[in-house]
Amino acid sequence: MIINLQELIALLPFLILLLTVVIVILSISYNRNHFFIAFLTIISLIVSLCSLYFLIAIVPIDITSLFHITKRSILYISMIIISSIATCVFAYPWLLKYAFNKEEFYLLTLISTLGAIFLTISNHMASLFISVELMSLPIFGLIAYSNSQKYSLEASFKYLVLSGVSSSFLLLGISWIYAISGNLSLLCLNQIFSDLSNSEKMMVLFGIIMVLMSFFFKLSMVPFHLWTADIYQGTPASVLSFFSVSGKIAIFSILLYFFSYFSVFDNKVIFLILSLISFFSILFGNLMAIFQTNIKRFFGYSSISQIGYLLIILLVSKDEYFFSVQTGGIFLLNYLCTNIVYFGVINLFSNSCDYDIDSIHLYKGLFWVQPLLASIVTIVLLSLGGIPITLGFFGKFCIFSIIIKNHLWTIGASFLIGTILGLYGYLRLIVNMYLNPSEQSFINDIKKSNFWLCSPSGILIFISGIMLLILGIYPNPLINLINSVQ
Amino acid sequence: MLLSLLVIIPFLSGIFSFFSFRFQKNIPRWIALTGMGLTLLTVIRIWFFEDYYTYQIQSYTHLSYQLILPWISSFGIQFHIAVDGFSIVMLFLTLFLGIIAILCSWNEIKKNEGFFYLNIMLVLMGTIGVFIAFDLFLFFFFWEIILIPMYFLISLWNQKKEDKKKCINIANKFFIYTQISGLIMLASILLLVLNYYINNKILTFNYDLLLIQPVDKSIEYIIMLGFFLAFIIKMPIVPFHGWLADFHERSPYCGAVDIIGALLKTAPYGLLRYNKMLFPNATEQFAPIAIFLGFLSMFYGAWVAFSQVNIKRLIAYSSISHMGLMLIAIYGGNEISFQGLIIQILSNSISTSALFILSGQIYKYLKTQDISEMGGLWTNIYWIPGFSLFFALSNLGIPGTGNFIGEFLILFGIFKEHPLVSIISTIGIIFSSIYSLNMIQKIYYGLSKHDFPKFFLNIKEFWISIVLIFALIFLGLIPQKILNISFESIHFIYNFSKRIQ
Repeated sequence: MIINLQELIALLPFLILLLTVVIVILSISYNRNHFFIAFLTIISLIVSLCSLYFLIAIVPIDITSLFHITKRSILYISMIIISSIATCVFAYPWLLKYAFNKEEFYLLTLISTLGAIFLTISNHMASLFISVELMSLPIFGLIAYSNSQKYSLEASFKYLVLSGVSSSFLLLGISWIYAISGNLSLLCLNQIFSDLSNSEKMMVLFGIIMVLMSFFFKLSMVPFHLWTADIYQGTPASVLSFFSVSGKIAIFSILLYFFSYFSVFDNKVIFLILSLISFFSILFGNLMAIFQTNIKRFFGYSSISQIGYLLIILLVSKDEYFFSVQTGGIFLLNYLCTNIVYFGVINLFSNSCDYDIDSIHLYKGLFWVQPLLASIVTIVLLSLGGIPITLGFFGKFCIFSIIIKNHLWTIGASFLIGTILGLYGYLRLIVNMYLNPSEQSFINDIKKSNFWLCSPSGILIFISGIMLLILGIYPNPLINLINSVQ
Repeated sequence: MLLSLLVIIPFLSGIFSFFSFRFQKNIPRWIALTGMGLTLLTVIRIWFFEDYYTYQIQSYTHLSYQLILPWISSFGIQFHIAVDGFSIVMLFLTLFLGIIAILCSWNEIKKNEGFFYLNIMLVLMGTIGVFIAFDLFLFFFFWEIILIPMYFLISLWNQKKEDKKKCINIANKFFIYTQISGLIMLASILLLVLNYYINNKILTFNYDLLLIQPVDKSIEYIIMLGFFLAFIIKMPIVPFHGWLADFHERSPYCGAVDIIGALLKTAPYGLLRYNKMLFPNATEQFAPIAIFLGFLSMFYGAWVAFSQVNIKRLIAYSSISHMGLMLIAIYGGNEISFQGLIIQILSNSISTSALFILSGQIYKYLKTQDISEMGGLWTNIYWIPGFSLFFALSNLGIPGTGNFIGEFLILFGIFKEHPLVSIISTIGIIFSSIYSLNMIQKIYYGLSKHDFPKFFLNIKEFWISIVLIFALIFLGLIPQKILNISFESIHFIYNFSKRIQ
């Protein structure tokens, strides 16, 4: 296996992160310094984000047979890295109060990021499997990081067991496919599938469905969603902004890669399964979100429905590659920004307490205490609901036009009902912030910490919120950017 | 550039009034009022000094006064606003009622003034936007944007402190209804645009372009139905009227209520501007059903209004009843009835808003909206009973007021096309006189149930009522002025919708 210079340049962002991982490990074993490690991690993530610039000229490129980088994956990689940066920025003030070892948090985040970005570019079953594992193993640690808290260990354990099961599904699926095709490359799948006899096709199909099931588990689609709310509840807010975004973007990008190239997926069975999953995810996620009183659980269910909307893209991605990539980009960016703000705000409030402030009634009357912050959260919730002047509206608009253009009427119906149910849920949170504050001490505590905007996390939250608004009013730059990466 | 001011001024004044709240509590309302005044001046400037008439060059509408900026080019969406006579009339109505709304809430809103005026200005901005948008996406954009501030207006500034929960529920109900209507409309707009795209390979949301290319016959009906549903939910017409009465009962009685006068009128505007123009064939086919729905809501509204014990619900149902007549005018009428429709829209908004304002005044003194607890108020209150009598009579269409002209022209127009429809509609109007008189009788005449203290009408409300009365009488005596403004557009709309078939 010979790697030439060009491929090395293509691997630059990954190598930077790998180097950082090594430095962090060495630094932890030699001398623990929280500030240094946090600073190093954030800087290296930023450097690796910038180094993506060098990739633009040389993609598309194959790095051995394991990885395949395209312009589109650069987009997704940058989103994942941004979410990691946000996590580290949010986690720093949280970790300052943390009693035990602080530095491993960054190590775990870095490794998981590495796994996620490898997943977006992997082109081989082996690299796919390893990346998935690399991505999810550190997350057990991250979820359990605040292990002194209620639900934390439970969530971590749940995710550990279920993730293990899903990995075994993935492995099983891969081996089914391998048994027939004799090749682990993703590209060969397409070629082989056309030459097979019917019974063999069934077996490959079974394998593919197994692989998809594992992915849908990771994306927490219905019917593999039962863990979502519990794990969201038990996870610290700063971890959630990473957990909820990076894994989902990575897996979605690999799914989009699958579904836009391979004729395998013209198959009726897969189409049916996909539409059913999307149908029920939209309805179920939105319906359950209405009844939640814990805003972390709320976002868990709401993310199910958001990814449900996203799955609609996959149904048509082969015929309308261009448009579906554009839609996916808009939607995922919206998801990223909303996540950063949503969990950033929870984290901001939780910093003054020992535990996460995650109950709805604690946020009652927030607007009258922190108007700017509450306005940003309002924008985020409206964006999730898809109301004009936010980016979410364009995501919704694009998906809706896909539905109508391709006459997916059943999904369209669930989209309509789901959006309305979802809006009901989001409005509940919004109006809660505008009611008169109750007499509890929490809101009065916030009054003291008026300078949230000056902290790094505050700036990040502010920028993301404003981005949603600006891109919602004038999305041209974003659309041009996404079009230019194709 | 002048046109964009129509949207920019309300928006900025809303923002400023929100932030100025910190300095002094009185500033927001002044800023809001100034903003409305400036917008009104802009409209007058456009009306006097620009040639805004719609005229026709080879079946292509050309609005000589328009502003087109590229917005989202990859989807063919433009920031395209334009004004024609019809829009001008609706803009005058919106701004007139907007100013009155602000004046009414002058002293009534005692908490969070800044946020309240921000919401009011945003609603007005959205309404203005709906009237001047000539890009379907932009139209939808404004159509949806109204909902959020409206939601806050209903849910946060209710009259009684104790039923906060109920208010939020009603706000949710309103939101869900309108959201359904919005999503259906989005679907229809997309269908229309994609249909155009398939035929011409141009992705555009431009109203003028979509207008000249007839829609495929096979899906024209479906798209038309989508638009129709979206509009009649907002209007509201009977099967979809569930939100209106609750909404009126709970909304803050001064500010928001008047806006409703303007807000509800976006739906007849849309029906005339979009349904009638874009889908002439399907509209023609659909007309009997629409007329039937119009009858339904006309009679149902009137009968239910008769049995209400809550003043505001009564007025809300009377408004539903009048909306039925408007729907019949749109679908059953000819050019004359369209012109009557415009007068009817104006005068009905004014008289309904006036009744709401007066009922708000009564509520302020008696702390109840229940008609059965009132009675014999004529001896206790100065001015209000007289004004109420005038507005109630005007509402049922007494000669000399705008409503009479409106109803007369509508019925006259319909009679030429479908005599029977016109005759049945006339019967509907009889019921409206019954419930109006019943309301007046129960509230103001007879013996007092309780021993109320005597009180005067607020001096501000007094002048507002006087202005409204003059407006109605103006409409009733010199409707030609209004008809002149809108004549060309209405003429064009009518001819265009007839010519194609």
